[in-house]
Amino acid sequence: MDGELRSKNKKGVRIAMKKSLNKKITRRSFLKVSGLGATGAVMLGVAGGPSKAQSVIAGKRLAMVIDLQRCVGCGACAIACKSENNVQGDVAWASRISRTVGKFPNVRHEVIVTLCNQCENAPCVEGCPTTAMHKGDGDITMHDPGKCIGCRNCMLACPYGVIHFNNPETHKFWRDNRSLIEGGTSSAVEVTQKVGGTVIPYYNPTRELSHPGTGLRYKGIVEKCTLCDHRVKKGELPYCVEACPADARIFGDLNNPNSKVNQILGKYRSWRLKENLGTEPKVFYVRSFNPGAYQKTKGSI
Amino acid sequence: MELQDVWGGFIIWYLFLAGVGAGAYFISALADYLGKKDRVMTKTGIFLGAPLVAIGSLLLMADLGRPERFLYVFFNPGSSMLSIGAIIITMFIIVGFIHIAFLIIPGLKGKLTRRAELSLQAVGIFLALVTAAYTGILLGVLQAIPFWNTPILPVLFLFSALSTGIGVVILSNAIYRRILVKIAATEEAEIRESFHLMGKSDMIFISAEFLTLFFLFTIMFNSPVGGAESASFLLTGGYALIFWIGVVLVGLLVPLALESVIESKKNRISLSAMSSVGMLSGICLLIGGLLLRYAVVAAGATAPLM
Repeated sequence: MDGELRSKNKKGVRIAMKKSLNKKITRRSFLKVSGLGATGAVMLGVAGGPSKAQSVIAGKRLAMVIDLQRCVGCGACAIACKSENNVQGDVAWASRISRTVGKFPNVRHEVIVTLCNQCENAPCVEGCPTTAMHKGDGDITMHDPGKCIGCRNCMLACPYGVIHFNNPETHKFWRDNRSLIEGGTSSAVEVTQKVGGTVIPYYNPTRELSHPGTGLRYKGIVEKCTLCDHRVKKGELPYCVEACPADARIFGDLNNPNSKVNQILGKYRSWRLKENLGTEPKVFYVRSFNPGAYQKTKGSI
Repeated sequence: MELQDVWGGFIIWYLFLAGVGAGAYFISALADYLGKKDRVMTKTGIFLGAPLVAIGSLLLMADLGRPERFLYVFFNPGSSMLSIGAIIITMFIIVGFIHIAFLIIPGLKGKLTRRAELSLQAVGIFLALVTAAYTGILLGVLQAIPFWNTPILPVLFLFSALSTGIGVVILSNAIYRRILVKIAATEEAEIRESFHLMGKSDMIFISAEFLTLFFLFTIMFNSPVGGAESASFLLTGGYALIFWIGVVLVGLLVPLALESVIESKKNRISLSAMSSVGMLSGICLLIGGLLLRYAVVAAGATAPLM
């Protein structure tokens, strides 16, 4: 055929369409090849990109060991986390269980510090409809504030209660315009205005470096401990680990057989919160908040 | 024991409306399949189904912390039960509205062949069942609330959806026949049959609900931790009144009693009395269905960490 296409329009009249097939093929195939070539080049470029800027923590399985015997229950970790991440007034990403167990005189007091367990089978990730909750580099359970719709399914999926919903009125504490002593002390609003009004007082900007726009808490979405990924990706320790005065929090890579966490986990029996649920948390607890001795005895009937 | 405060009002209304809408569609479509001629019974559910579920979905959107981003759930199908459910509800709403369009839009009216309509209804029935069950699955997969984290919950919500679906169909039937339209003598037998069928079916669903509630509470009282707190909160604690009077008495026992009255009296009861009883029964079923969702959601308690 010489490239003549015949077709019928509605009235049944033959319409012959002459196409200079040769020329069109050449032009078309040229565009095709160059298009494919360009796409291929872009793809290679993109694929090549991340491997250059690959994160320090890629391929690791970051975990934390809490040595309950070293812990004194001071709560420095909780405060450090709040200051590092600009966490809001009544929310604590690093928290603790502080309780007295037993009936006098057979009592003990214990403090068990908690944080997001960075579960390997994270139910929050499973429950997120938009993949805002996802596992990121270093097997950190990360949250992407740009994708979150605020459905709070993750909050109910997480058996540890470590996810918090950001009040639509964020940083409420700093919006308060009451002062303790009228004319004497500043109100929260006044102090905020002194630092420009666009950030909160005691604002930590470093958190924003890896996630632009997330220095302050984002309204209408959920947030939780990010294992200080903004620090970890630079090779620094999470701030709660850094701040602990008793070195009770030990951070490391489970994939590295020589890491401190693996050394401690090999040496001591460890336990995790709600292990029976199958979430495979990566926060391990070793030893006891209440060591010490009692008078040697064989007991009695 | 800490009661969850994550999901509240909007979610409770969504669970109720999605249940009623899906249940009503299922009941009406099923009646149509069984060859029932009463058009109120076979069409009410179709007209109410998609709109009720759509209103429920709007409430879901309003509940979001970032409602303007609600479309994101559709971009990651299969990532979680919530996204799967969103897609299913959307499909049901679309199919339901298509069905309604063929029933009321002047240009489309009557264009649907019987076979096409039955096929459309088959799809609608399937989506309705999944929508009704999904309301329970949404809560059922959540591990933080032991009282919800059981396969029995979707079963309970499914039976409740079917029962409240019947409730709204009986109610519409009663209002339409009693108040809006004069009943011709020829229609009387047909209407009696409708009420009987609705009543009998609902008695089965209510009995199934009782059984499922019994299973739920028995197992919860014997489960390790967390579930028992919620269960006792409902049976003997702060929400006991809402549960026993709202859910059990008004939502289950009263309709059951009324329906058995209709059943036992059969043809000796006047049509107007039957429709009054039906109206009352329908209202009670709907109130009970809403309060059941409220009770389950509000009494959800988290288990302690240690």
